[in-house]
Amino acid sequence: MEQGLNILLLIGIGIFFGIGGGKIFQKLKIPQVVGYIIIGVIVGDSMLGLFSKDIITLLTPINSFALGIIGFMIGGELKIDLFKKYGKEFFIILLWEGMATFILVTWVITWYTGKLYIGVLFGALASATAPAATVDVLWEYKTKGMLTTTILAIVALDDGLALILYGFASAFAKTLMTGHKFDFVHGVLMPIKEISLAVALGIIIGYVIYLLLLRITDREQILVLAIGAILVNTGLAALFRLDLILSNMALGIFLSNRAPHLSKAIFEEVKGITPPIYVLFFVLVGARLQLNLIPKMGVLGLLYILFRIIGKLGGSYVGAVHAKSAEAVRKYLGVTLFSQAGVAIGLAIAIYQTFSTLGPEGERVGNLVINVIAGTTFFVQMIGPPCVKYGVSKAGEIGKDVSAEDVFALHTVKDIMDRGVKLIHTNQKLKEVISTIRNSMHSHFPLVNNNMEFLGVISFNNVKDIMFEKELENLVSAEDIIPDTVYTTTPQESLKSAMDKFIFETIDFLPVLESEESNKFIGILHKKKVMALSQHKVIDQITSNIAESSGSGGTGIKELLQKENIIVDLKVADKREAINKMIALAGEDISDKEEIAEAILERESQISTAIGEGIAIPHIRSKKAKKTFLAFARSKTGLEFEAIDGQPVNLIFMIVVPDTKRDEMLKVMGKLSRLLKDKKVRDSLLSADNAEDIMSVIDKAGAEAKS
Amino acid sequence: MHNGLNILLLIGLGVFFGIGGGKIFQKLKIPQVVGYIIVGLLLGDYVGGLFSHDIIETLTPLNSFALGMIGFIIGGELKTDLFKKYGFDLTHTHLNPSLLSICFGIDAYI
Repeated sequence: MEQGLNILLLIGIGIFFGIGGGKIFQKLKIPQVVGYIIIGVIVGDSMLGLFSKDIITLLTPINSFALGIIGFMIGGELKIDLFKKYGKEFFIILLWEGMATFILVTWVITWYTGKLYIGVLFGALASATAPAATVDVLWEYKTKGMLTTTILAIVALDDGLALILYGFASAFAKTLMTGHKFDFVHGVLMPIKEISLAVALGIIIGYVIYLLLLRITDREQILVLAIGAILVNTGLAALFRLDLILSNMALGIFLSNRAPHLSKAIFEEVKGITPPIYVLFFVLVGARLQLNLIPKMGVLGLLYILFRIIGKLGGSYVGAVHAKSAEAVRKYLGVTLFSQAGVAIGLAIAIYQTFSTLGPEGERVGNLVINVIAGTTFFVQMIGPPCVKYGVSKAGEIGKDVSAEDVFALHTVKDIMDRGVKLIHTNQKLKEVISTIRNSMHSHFPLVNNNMEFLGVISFNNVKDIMFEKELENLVSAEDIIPDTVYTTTPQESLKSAMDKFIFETIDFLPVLESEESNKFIGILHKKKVMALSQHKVIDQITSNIAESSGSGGTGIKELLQKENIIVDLKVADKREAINKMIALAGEDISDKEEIAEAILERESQISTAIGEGIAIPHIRSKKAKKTFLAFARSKTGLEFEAIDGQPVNLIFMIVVPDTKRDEMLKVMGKLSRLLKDKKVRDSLLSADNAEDIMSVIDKAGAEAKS
Repeated sequence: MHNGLNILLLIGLGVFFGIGGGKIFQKLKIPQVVGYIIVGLLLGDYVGGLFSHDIIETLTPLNSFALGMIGFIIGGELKTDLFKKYGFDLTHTHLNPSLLSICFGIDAYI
């Protein structure tokens, strides 16, 4: 019992100091994770000794649980659509960054130690990246964009690659050391089997949860269900010695894709309880680091760190160029992949356990691996998170993930509270109270006394018992009515916490009091107004995000429009002929051109896509298209297109988007309309001499929009 | 290591079966807490044996934590004004069932 309570106290202290450390680092504009870890080091075994080795071992389940949650949350952000679209790109980058690091580190360590079997072991360890610390930075700074998405996918897949490389390297090193034959089963098949089993476990649990989810609507039970699922999944993964991060990622991926809407509540609920668990997790990561081992890593450790960084930077750059990734990914992915923690340490311990049974040389190798990884981990955990921040900030992805919650957090109650509201005073007679209630659209009224102190809320319910007693009307005053107590707010409170109070209230406003201490009534906060504000702001922010991202890299107009798909001088009799001519430009990417032309004309007959200013944008989404097709035709004389302004059109852009890419259509149209809003662009498109000139007009306009 | 991780699995199973028991009792119009406790009895040392005495001992901190939270939440609902006006009236409390499930479930075996 004594021991048990001490653990609670320790956990509490860890969380408290952790938050403090995080806050200090936040002020220094360094990711809070670093603060948590440093606090961990201070309270840990190597300094204050508050968290002894025994305690840390005792807390291992919490550690696994936290990793499970992190895996689960990462999985929740990985949508199948994403892999359909970018799967190949991610895979190329993963192979490049992982293999480049593996080969470089293997090479340099072999060169330094003169032993290939030591080299490959370090090479395999070097490929691993810590998902937790990396992703935590993304969450802290609310990042969103192509780089963020790629980081999430790469750290998720990296875990699997590291396991495969480790399996291979460990079997290979054993062969080199002992001279036995290469163990194909342990070196290649086992790791693949373990990964498949981990994924299968996650999917099975996910399916069970999915079935249960269909029967549960209560939010609190959803949280219980989700936590139960993560616990069981993590527990089973440990029981079968499978990678628990992978299996929880699989669980998250399965749920978020199988039931995108239902599972939304799950991820929201889990996210709500995660902050203290993360803080504790990272404090424990720090507490486990042993400072006295840092000098022991020696030159070997420095070479390991240096070449691992070179491998990650170079590998991701080459991979991203090879995969034709967006500029942000090419330039900044590598710098975000430095962190290394649990996975590498876990593998190092596994190496120690396997090799220390292989005689004195094996034991030496095992010890070397443990010491070096323990030392280097401290270093990369310190530089890793700030580097992630640097990368995403350079890529301009910080603060792009806005939700209504964030809008609420930015505003306080005083921004939108109403001051002049209908009140009931204690000295009012029952008669007046009833007439106030009767003659108003509202159902609830704040009750105040002569000093404007708030006493509660009065509604029809509070007076219904005495309402029809005529004699009482002048006898009873509002003072005699017992009002309902409700949640209140203050002008300084953030809208976020004010919104939380509405969840528990049936009424649609909160009385605003002067401060926490004083009861002075100064106004009310309407729920409707808060909701309206959030929708407004979120839409604004999303629009500006789209505006910023258009024109930069990826699938801009410039990349979509091929020179061959431009008709400089369109000479046709009517709309139908124009559409047919343009669709004819599409290559094999569109299988049934006639059908698509018909579909476009069908849409045109319902509503013309001529949007005025001589522009028309006929468009369609179709199963017959394999890739997005964009064509441009210019008619010097103008073509009758039933435009809204009645004018003939000169500039026609045709868009055909595959049925699977639902969001692509709006993106392309948004970019086009932004481009064409500019009169200069329209004029240059009209006056351009040939297809090359037209391309360069679009190119230039795109570049300007970006700068 | 081994023992520690099994604990996660056990907690997970406890939570799962707990919800199940709660649901059944909810259908029978009996408070879900009764379901949690009965599931606890079934899994506990005397019947199912899934939660051995040692395990329950290990989970004592969780139990204390849950009780602490419940106390905290109840305390949060009790404004001094409320006392002045009504004395004790606990109908206003919203307790978190997930905590309760753990707390009562474990309590049952002890």
